[in-house]
Amino acid sequence: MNSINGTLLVVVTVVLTFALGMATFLTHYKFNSLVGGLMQSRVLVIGNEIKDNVEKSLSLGLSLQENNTLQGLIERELRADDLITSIVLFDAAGTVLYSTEPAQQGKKIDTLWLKSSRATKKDSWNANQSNAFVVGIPLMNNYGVTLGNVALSYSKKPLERCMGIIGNILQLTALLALMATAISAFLLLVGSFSRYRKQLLVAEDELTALLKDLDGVPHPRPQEPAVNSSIFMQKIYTFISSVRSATEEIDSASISITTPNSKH
Amino acid sequence: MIGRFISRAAVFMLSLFAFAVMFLFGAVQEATAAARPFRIYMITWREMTDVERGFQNYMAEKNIPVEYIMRHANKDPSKLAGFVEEIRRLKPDLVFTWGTTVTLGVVGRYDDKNKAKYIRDIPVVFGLVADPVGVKIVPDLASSKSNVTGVYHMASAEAIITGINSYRRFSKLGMLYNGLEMNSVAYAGDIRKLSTKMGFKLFERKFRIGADGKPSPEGVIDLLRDLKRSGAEWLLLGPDSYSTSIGDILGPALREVGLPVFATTEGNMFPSGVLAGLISKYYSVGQFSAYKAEQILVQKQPAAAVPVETLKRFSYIIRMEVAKELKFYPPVSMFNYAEIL
Amino acid sequence: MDADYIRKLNIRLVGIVTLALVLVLSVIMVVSLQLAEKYVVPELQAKALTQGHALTTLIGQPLSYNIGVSELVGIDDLFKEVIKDNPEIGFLAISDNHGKTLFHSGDSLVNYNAYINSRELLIETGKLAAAGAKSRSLSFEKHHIASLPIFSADHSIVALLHIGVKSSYVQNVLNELLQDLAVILVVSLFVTYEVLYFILGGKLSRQFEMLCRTIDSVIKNDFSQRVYHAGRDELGRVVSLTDSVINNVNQRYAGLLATAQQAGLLPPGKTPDDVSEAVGIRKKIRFGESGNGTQSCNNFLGTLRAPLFLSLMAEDLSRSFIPLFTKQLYEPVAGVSDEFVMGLPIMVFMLLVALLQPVLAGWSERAGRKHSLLVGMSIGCFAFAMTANAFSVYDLLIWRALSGVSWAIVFVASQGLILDKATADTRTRDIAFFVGVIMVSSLCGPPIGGILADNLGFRATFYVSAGLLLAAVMVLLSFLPGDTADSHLESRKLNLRDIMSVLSNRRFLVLILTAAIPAKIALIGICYYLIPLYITSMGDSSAMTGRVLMLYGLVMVIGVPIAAGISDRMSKRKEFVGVGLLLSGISGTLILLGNNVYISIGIVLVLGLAQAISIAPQTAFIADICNEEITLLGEGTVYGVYRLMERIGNFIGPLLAALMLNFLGFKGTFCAIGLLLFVSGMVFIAVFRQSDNCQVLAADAKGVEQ
Repeated sequence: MNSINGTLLVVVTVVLTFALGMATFLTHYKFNSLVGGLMQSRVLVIGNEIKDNVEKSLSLGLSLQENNTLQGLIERELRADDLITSIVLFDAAGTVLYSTEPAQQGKKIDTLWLKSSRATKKDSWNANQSNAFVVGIPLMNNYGVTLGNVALSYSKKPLERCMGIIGNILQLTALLALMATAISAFLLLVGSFSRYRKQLLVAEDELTALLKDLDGVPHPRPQEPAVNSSIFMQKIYTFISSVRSATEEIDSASISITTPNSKH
Repeated sequence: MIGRFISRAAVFMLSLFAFAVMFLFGAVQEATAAARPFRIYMITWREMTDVERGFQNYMAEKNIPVEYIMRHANKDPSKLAGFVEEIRRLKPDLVFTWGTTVTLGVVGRYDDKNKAKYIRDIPVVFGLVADPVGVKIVPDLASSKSNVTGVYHMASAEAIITGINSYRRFSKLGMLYNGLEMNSVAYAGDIRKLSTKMGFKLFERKFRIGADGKPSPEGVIDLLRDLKRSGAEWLLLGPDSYSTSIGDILGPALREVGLPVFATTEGNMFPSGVLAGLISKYYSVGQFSAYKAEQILVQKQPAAAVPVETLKRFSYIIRMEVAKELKFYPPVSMFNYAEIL
Repeated sequence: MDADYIRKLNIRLVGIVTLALVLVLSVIMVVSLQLAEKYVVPELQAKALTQGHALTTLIGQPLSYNIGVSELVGIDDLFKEVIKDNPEIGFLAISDNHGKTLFHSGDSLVNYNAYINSRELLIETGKLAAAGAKSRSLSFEKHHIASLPIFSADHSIVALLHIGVKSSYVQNVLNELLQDLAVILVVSLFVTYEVLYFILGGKLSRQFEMLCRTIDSVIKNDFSQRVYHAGRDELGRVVSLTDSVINNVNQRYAGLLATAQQAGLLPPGKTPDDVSEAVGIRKKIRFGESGNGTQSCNNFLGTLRAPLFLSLMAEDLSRSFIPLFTKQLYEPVAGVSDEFVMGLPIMVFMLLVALLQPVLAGWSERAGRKHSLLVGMSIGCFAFAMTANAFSVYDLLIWRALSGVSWAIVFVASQGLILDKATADTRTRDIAFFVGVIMVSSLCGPPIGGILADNLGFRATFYVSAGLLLAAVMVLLSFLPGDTADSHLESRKLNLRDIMSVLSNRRFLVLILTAAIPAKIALIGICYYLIPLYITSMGDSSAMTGRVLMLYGLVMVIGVPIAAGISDRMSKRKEFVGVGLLLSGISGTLILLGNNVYISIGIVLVLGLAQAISIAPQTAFIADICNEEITLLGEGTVYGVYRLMERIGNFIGPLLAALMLNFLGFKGTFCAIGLLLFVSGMVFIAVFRQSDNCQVLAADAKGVEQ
């Protein structure tokens, strides 16, 4: 870095980029989990209605396999919220018993779903598919054995659309804010450091001149600085005169040594 | 520390391995067993109930081939000895017993010295025993340490009180039971203990004892009126078999007095008079018993390794007709989980 | 312009950066609020509607048994429960078709009575329902009200359910965001320092100060000092010019001496003043060696700081959730309590760090500091990548143990590097610098880690840690000069005899047993084990844990230097240690005041204060009570023993806390640790009160280490 200004620019940019990067990242995720969570809890409300219904019929002694009201139930609940794309009821082995998509009936469920449903220790589980989110609720019988699950798929598109817009706005804001504040903070800092920088530049000139003097290189005298009451500049000038008087001392001493008639 | 840890890890791995081996072994056994149906000797107290239906449907749904040998005691305990004889002769794979009396008649108390009278080699699964530890069928719910396991059907006294409270908060509770039944007396004792803990007042009444030394239905209505006068907001019917047996008298009496009644067994959910109950569905008890029989027959677990349990979820039953008559409606949220009859 | 001016410049720099940070973060906050208004509110309403639909379905059930709407029982309880489970719902109400509010729960309806009971709304809703719509809704100032029809058994509308969604809910949700942004602000400020340090290498104040000092000595006619610093910015150029000027003068003098020697004027073995006199210099001038001033610059601190900071951060990121992650992986093993298992990874880590540090000291010296740093960081990188993929508690423990190895190596090697390079007069400052990095990292790591874990998940956060270590390796490779054999401190390895002989000092032993070990038990047991579990047990997030732990770091960063200064000035070190211990004790018992996140904040703050008060005085106190051992075995050995003993506390902390948690629960465990500290403090005070005659020695304030 050839100038303090360059350093300041790097510091300001790095720090602000870090802070803004973290902040936008965080905000984005917060919105994602907020909106995603709201959508999921909406689907769960419906899922729980189905669960209550199924479990009630289970304790009445109806088996999961042979309950002809369940197909109607899931079809009705599918219409309750247009976010939901399909509802599937499958048994503990993963065979689809009822589905809002008739073609699925009797087939095996996605292994990912089965794995998630078996792994869960909670009241519900999630599975993430390429085009849809899935929430599932275990269906238990009276003695706590999980007989199956009801799984509700809902489209990813609304969330993706929403997060796309939010993400764009956030990024744009962050970028603009970064540029605006980085430039103004940089200018402010340059202003704050200008006296420091100027004095160092003057000191540099003075010292260069001094060095050239010492080496006997001819050079134009630097201009006398306008006002220099600062302690630092006074120090520099005193330093220069100390150096000059010391070199004079050495020079006169060496002259006296090399000049034979002044020998004592 | 680390050494101990590694050894723990090793034990864990080993047990995983052992588990896998057992699992495979079990699968092989299952495959061979499919060839011959299991023979289950089933004894009931009266006629066929939902318990046996639940049991048999479970086996059918699971495609487990079973051959049933059905026997009814017809409420006569003296028949049980004959059944034990027959079991010895037929050597079924498993015995299923219905209720406390039948179960005791087949397996006896666990501390009974006279072991020859009972079945102690063939696995026995019982269903519908209210308090298997109290009547000494098993020493401990975790394991009978013998050839017995099964399902008991009572919700805990706490769950019952909470169940009543969630219908409507109360501070005074009445109970009517047969003072000669050990079961009922013990249960009343449990509720009494809870009354101080959960902060309600308990009024107890016992059925009158007739000249023959047996309880009689006489004056039931007075007892009920008396309870109502003393301020009881609910009447709790425990697992009292006498109440069950006089349902046709007790039901109308309850209806006449107009006291909300809460039942604890399906047997006491009289069509008239009883408002609500937290009960084990006989059907579910049967299914759960079958589930335990499956563990013994198919998965080849010793009965001692199968714990004695009750249902995880009980049925909350509400008779809407009674609620309307009493103008005493259940809270709305109950419609989410209760069965409305 | 002087050192004071530079300090002012520094303050202005931080001020402007802070201002800029506050500004950009506020912009993000404001934009977030607007985004929420636009995109979250509709989702809230949609959810409320679905909830409402479920409610009307439920309420419809008793109605289907011909129970009248006004006869419904338990609506209040139901409403209260729904409001409790759905914090966005402000109120729920049912009005009948005669314009009367039958049931109501939650926020006041004063402003809405006319609306919800109006005939128009009923008719309107009926029309909408007939057309297939579910509800009619309208936004008011404080609530958005959705009204849904309730049907009787004969499918006629008998009542309306009104759901009031709070307009303020979005703000509440964003409060969490605000807290996170505040964390980012604080962390960014510290990162500013780190960046400054990395770029400037501490030049701004330090180099300027040295320049001033050198100039001052020249003014006093002493030409023997030089700044020795390279740099191409304004200051750097002035510095090198100054050095050249001084060098020029010294060269001249050397020339003079050479001439004088040739002339046979130089008497051997005389003082410089005599020489000066002999060659004819009248003034009292001290000259120095001439040379090009290429002596290695000490910017290595700035260069070391960044990778060190990164690798410490990598470890600190997971502080707030390691027990939770363990819990997630854990499958119950018979005979071992859950709490114990959750504490195991911390224990394994601490144990390895404690055991390895003394062993590694010699190795890192032989292998070279840079080399050992690279090895340590690479191991750490691998360990974190594997932690991210851990599938059971068992392999997690292996990876955590590796992390412990990595941490110990990095710690020992950087400490060694700093001590190698340090000169007598920079030593205290260099150590303080080292401690500073540790504290700043322990301040920034947990909150950032918590935020990451909440948003990305535990495993992804471990990958971030691995990435940080990778970055550290890169920085180290490209910036830190290679190993030179310029260690001028012969470090001694600790041997058992040394340990025993130091421990045979009774007062040292008492200090270790009543102060050093208990303090670490409290720190690791409470901050690293109990607090993460406690806070999440109340349903709060890992981010919250991180924030709370950040407070500890903040108190330390601010408190330690202040307390060190005051205790040195007042020369009341043991009093500070005693008070610190008692305060730590009190912090644990704060749990008795309640059961919420504020209590945990209180505990952490008081504990932080207690540690801040006692840590530096405690270290300095060692010198007071062990001056015999120090003269005999050297300061390094005595402090080595002290650190070793202290680390035993690091290991016991989580072990003890885990065992107690199993039996006593949170309240009991916090109290028990508090009590332990309190009793230790009492014993400490009792023992050292009698020995008031001990000499107070100025010992350098070696600070904290974990």
